[in-house]
Amino acid sequence: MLIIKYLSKLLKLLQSGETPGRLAGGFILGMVMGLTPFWNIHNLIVFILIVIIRVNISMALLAFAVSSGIAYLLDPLFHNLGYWVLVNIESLKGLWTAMYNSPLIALTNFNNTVVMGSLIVSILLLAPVYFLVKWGVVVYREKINAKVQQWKIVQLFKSSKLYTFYEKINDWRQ
Amino acid sequence: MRWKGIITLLVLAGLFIAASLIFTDTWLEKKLEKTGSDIMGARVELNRLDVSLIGLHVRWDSLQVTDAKDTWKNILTTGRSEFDMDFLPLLRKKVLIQNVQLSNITSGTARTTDGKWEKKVKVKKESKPNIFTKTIDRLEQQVAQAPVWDLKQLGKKVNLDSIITILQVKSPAKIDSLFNDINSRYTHWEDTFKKVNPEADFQRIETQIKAIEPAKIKSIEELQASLKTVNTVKADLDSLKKFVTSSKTGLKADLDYSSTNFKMVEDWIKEDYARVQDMAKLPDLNAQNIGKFIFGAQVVNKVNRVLAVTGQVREYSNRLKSDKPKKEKPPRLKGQFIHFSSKGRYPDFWMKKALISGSTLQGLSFSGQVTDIVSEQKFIGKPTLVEINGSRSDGAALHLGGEFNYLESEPRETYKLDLIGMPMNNIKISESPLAPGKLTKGKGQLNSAMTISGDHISGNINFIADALQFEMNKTQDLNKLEKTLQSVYETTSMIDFNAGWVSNNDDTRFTLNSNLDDLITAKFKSILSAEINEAKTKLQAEVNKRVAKHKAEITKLVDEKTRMLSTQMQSYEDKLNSYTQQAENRKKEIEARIEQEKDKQKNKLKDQTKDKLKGVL
Repeated sequence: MLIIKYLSKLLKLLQSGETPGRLAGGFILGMVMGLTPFWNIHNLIVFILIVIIRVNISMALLAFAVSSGIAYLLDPLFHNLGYWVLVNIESLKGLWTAMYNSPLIALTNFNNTVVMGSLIVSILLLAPVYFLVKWGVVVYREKINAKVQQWKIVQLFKSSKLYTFYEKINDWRQ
Repeated sequence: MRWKGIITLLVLAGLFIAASLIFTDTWLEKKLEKTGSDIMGARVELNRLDVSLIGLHVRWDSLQVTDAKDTWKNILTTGRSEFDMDFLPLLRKKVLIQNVQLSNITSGTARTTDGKWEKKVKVKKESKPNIFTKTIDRLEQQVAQAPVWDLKQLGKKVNLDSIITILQVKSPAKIDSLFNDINSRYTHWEDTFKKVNPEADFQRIETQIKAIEPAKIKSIEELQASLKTVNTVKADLDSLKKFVTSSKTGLKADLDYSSTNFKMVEDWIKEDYARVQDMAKLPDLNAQNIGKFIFGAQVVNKVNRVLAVTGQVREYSNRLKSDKPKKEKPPRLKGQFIHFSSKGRYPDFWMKKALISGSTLQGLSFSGQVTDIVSEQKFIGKPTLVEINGSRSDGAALHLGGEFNYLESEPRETYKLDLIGMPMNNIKISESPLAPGKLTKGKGQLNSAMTISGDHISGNINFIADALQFEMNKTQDLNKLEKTLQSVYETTSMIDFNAGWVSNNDDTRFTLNSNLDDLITAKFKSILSAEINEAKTKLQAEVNKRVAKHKAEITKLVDEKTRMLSTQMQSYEDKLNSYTQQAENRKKEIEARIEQEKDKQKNKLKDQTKDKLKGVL
């Protein structure tokens, strides 16, 4: 059910008239929200960006859902990376101490190992993922979409009531 | 830019602010009550919490904390209390409270509803024992080890017959097991000696040596044959020597084992005496035991409560230390918070001053302050201090002082509590059956102090009460001991005790002396000593009777076999040495005789050659 929902969403998005840049922008912002622990101030900023910048919100929601699952799997990695950056790199200790004692920054939970680890990974992934998604959308639309539409499974899927239902809702929203 | 999005955001923000203004108080009250109840293990109730987000002012009308041990009573209640939080530190995620006013504090008030709290059972990771948990356990153990003085039981004659019928004397079985073990070792040596049979070898060797008489042998050939025989005998003796030497070592080890284990028999019998004595509940009439029995549990209970709280405070203070934090394994998506520090910065939490006032149920009014309740003392360079004084119109006074000092590398907590001129009427000084029921008159004074410095704890309580009058628990159907106890309290008007405790990671010592120790011990001894001694002797005799046969058997076995095997081994050694010497002597004799015969033959040959040469020349 969940996979059908996401697949339907993805197919719809890839075929939509939205520019690859906006789709990629929505994806990376959703990815940041999904990879990092949700209830944090930086996610409020990301949320505001998603709402006010012209990025694709559906793509952001899709990316959020997918990367939340990935974040759960990668949690030990984030914890270890965050601990290493916060505790073991002596040269950064002064910066962390200053941030820890600074107004507002202290509220960001940057001193949490998972927040720090996941945020570093998200930031490192921002640019590559943006360009990869953008390129992927272009390639898909130009070369793959026509073939995919021929696949029996896709036709079967598109004829399902569920897909029709999502399409109607999406049309209604737009 | 999406204008629709911005408008949506603004609407959401407005709704959020409105909801906060309406629901914060209720939500926060519930949250604080739940957190407090989880910590205390009993219901914590805040009444009419009011949080003003604009002025950051917090106020509540009353606070009730239920006593977890009696959920129909409050361990603490406060009246209207309020405080202000500073805004700027909040932006740094730090809570700074200048002054808190906690008024109308009372303790022990009755509740109108049950304050039971069903806490969610969390599987708590077993924490490593520390000085606090070790001391608490050891103190409880020491008090529990004091013999139970049951006056009814002691007043009756000990029913020795019934004890003897159910008596389990364990040493016979242990002795029998040791008997079999030792016996098997002795049998092994007896079998070995029988199998090897060195005696037969010695007889053969003796015959061989005696048969060789070098003086009677005339020819060199015969002498050389005898020398060969002597060498064979010597080789046999060497082989026997090897056997005797190795056997001697093994036998010595087994004999040592037997004698060492045999010594344990006496210990086993002693253990049986002790067990039997315990079964009969025969107490040691020791003065220390009585004092510990009357006041020990109460003193330890109070000390342990203070230690448990101090342990928690120290644990929190350690958690917030700025040292390199230990890597934890947090639940998924929760992470571990790393705390950073630097001097001159704000601590995470700092309550500068809490003004406290209230009264006890006995009508003693008190007031005081707790200063610098702080998460990181090193940031402010000041310890947390507690100073509370109280008084009552009849002259009773209270002083409580405390210091929690985490400024140095070694944490240090000190407490001092003085209660002066306390009226003792209607007070029950102990639940012990040896203590009087209630005091009807008198005044008491208590001075106590405790210092916990790193992993070293020391403290004392001195209590003295005089001009006392007692009311006994029971006035009719008294047995002789209860009557004696009553007479002790009738003739004294003063009770005192001094308790002291010292603890470190390896050991905890708790002592308690009271004037009742000697008073009660002396009286009880005169009544009970003869009876207890008679019972002890009878029980000891019973144990001896049951053990005697087994003890005699093993003693006989060890004595006889040890002597026999040692003698046998000594005899082998003696014979071996003697025959070795004889063989050596024979060898020397034969060698000398051979030389002699050789010289003879040489001379004869010389003479023959001379004679032949004479004829030729």
